[in-house]
Amino acid sequence: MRKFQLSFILLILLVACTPTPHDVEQSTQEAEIYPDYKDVTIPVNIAPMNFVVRGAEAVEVKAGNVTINSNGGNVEFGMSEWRKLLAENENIEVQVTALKNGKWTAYRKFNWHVVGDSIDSYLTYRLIEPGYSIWNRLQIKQRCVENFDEYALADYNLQENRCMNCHTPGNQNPQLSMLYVRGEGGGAILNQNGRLRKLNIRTPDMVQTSTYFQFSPSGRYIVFSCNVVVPAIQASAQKRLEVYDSESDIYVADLEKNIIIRSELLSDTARLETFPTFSPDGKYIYYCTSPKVELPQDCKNLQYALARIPFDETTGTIGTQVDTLFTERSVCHPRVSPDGERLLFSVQDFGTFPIWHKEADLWMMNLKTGAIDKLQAVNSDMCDTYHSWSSNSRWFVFASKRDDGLYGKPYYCYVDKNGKAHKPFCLPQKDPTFYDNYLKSFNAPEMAKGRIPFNAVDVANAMKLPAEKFE
Amino acid sequence: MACFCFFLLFYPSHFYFKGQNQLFLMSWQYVSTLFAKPAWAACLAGEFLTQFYYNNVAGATILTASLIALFWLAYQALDSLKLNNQIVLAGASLVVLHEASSHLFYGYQLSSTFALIGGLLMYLMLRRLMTRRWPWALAVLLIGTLLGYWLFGYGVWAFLLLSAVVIWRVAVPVIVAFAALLPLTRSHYNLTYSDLCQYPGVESLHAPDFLKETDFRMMRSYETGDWDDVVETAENDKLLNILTEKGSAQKKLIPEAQVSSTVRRFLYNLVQSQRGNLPDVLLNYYPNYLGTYTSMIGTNLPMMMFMNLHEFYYAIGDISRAERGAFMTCVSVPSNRNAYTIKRLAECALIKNDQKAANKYLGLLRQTIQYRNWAENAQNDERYKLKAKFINKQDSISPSEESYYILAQLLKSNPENEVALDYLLCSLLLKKDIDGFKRDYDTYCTNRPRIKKLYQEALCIWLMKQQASEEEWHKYIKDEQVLSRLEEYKAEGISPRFADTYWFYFDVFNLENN
Repeated sequence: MRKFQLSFILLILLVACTPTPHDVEQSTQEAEIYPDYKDVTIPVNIAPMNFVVRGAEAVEVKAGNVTINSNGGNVEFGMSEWRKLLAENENIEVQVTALKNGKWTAYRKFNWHVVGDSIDSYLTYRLIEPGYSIWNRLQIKQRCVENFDEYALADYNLQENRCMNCHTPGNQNPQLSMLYVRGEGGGAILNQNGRLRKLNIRTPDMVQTSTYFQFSPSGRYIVFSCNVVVPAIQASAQKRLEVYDSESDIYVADLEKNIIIRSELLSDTARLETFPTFSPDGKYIYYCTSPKVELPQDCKNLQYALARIPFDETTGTIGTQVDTLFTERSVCHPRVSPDGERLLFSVQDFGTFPIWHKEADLWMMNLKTGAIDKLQAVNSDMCDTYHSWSSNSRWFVFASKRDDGLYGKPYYCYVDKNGKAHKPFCLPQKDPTFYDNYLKSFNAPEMAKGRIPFNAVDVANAMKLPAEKFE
Repeated sequence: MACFCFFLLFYPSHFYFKGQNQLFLMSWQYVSTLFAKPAWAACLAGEFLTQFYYNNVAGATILTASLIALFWLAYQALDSLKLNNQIVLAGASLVVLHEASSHLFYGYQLSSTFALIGGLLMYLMLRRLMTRRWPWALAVLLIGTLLGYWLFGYGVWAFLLLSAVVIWRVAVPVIVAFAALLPLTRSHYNLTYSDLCQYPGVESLHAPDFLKETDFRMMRSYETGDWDDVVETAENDKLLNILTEKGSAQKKLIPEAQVSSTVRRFLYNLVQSQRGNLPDVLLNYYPNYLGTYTSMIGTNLPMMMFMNLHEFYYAIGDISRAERGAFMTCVSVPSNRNAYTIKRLAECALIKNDQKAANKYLGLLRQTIQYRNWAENAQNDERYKLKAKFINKQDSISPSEESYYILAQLLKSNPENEVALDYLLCSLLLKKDIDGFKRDYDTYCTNRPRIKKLYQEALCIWLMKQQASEEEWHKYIKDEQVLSRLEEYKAEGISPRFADTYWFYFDVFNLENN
């Protein structure tokens, strides 16, 4: 009883110390909030969209029937009130009233449009400094986007500080995924229903070990590219790193028979082929290809076209007819929506590494009509790239450097049933100032329908296994 | 007192180095990140205090106070075991001496000392409760172990070992169980078993490293703008003075000394180049080291050089590479966070007028104690606007780290970039590339003559090689003293009297062997 009384008194004191608005001045200006969650479309299962009102000494936020008063600019929702808010409203009107320089101001209201199309509940990403060609202390993590729980999938402490990259679930299925651990004794760690296999996919005829890969719909095959990656420096102070491939080829690996399936069309010595992905029905491999040029002097002439080639999952054979689908700008990372209706890809002025290309944008192709949507509501003046779809094809996530030009952060974008892409929003964090102080990029974000069933210790144990060879 | 005096007088720059190799932010958001690993309380106290190491006196004061606290706690803890007073004194002294010795290593953190302090403190606080009936003692021990590990990491072993002396029948099974169950936390903390046992870190005994202390001193003086001290330290440095025995057989240096010598020459030249004196001091050391042939990628560069490369690019005005070098420094230090490098990244952004990136880094630095004021005023600092005039304006892509290419681009962007010019010409002269030197001297110095004794002497070699006409000699050689000394050199031949001339370097110094 005494404890209850004490808690009650403390609560009263806390509430009493939080200023509430008075003599409020109405403003037509928008509140300066971060992340920019103004007028965004959000899924019903997203974690609380906590934000900070920049420069505020105190703040009152009314979102639907929820009122939050706080000292300082941080606005953090309780999990249960947030769930209720999203469950009960399709359109949430948000009124921000902030105390700045001793004056309360009510800013122009904005809205959160809540849609019933859920996002896949987990997101995986690699955390890395934005230097990219140099690395130290890497981690691959998964985050439950319905709350703020985060778990390590691979951690440098347990991997002798090796390079690790590209955790990719197969068709958003958490029971099927793969990641690479590089260096001596490294390999591809394949997760099949939580059982981890260590694979050595490289065969002597390949120019390099596998780099970019995607699973086939059945999960039996992966299509991957082997890239000889060359980092180079852009002389201009306004630009940064340029990375290009001096060689790259595409292969398919049969994960049941441990064999490599080859096609001369995908390992043409006169061309570079990269970023392969299967269509959701498994009948095509989409990829990017460019004729070879003299590098680095002709780097700006590296123009990757979007192409596709048939594939037969039942026989494991690659077709003989290459269709070129798009040549307007240099294309990277083609990804087909699981419903097979749209193809999302990034475009840039030249080359194959959009991460430091400010002009890199996401474009979307309607695969039925071939029409291109330049996604003006989605793209920013900074690099927007490395995207992946949700299992219901209504959402995609991508890495954007729009906030500071340096650190990639995961942004979610809603694509409605008419194919219209809405304004994206940044992955919410419990502390809304998290991104301000964070010094890592969220690299290669990929969605999964559930929690990936292994952890960093499992990967460390799998690394002790002998690597399965491929022929 | 001896400890304080030693660290204050002989080791201040180690503290500065340690202080920069973290980025402690005065925010709850940052503090909450410490919970991701064990020993959060020790790390919080250690990191908080380490941030003051930038102050000359703070490092020695904080460490001495910490070691006194450790001694007192160790003494009390051992005394509680009812041991002979001399044994208690010796035991406590050994603990402190080991800890003091560990702090002689530049990578050892104050958090580790606080972990030990925490473990001892827990033992002293809970000791009386342990002497009660065994279920009560077991409960105290279990809670103490879990709490101790969570708060103080490896300091819990001190708690457990001392407890084992008091109530071994209860404590020994707890220690065995704790050691056996600790691996279960691997997936939570993502640490190896060995790291779990030692977090936040233990270190073996170390002797004072005065080589590193001088390196760190020069780094600190360079970073803080005390460039007179860089020059003075280099000029009084015995290690570097060995390299002034020009023309004589080079003394073999141990690898550590070689690294130190490289770093010191590099920093010395960096200062002199920005004062316009590089050609005047280039021959001060045989061999000299400019850093212009050092690649940032794919080499086993010593950490100290790795950490300083961005300074070279920043000085010459290659802001892309300076930024890249700063990122590299960041990933080469514990936790990938270095306060000075974050300042450098902010500076790069300000020079490039990249407001978004500048805001990111300035926002971070505003949350630090050392750089708060700098961050508040940096946007209005005219030096960055001046520096912007020297950035690389060429639009090209190169996988090469070859500095000649970079320096030439910078000079093309701004021919007034004297730092780049001197580095370019001096690099060629160190390589004895007289034709290349003459070509670039013509390219960059025809309209803006740069009359330096070194360059005049090098031009003499080219003119003699070409058997140039008198007219050409007049065109290039403006320093009459150079001409008269050349006559003397030709008459006397190689003599130590001419060891300050480029002719001597050209004729005597064996490039292949260095």
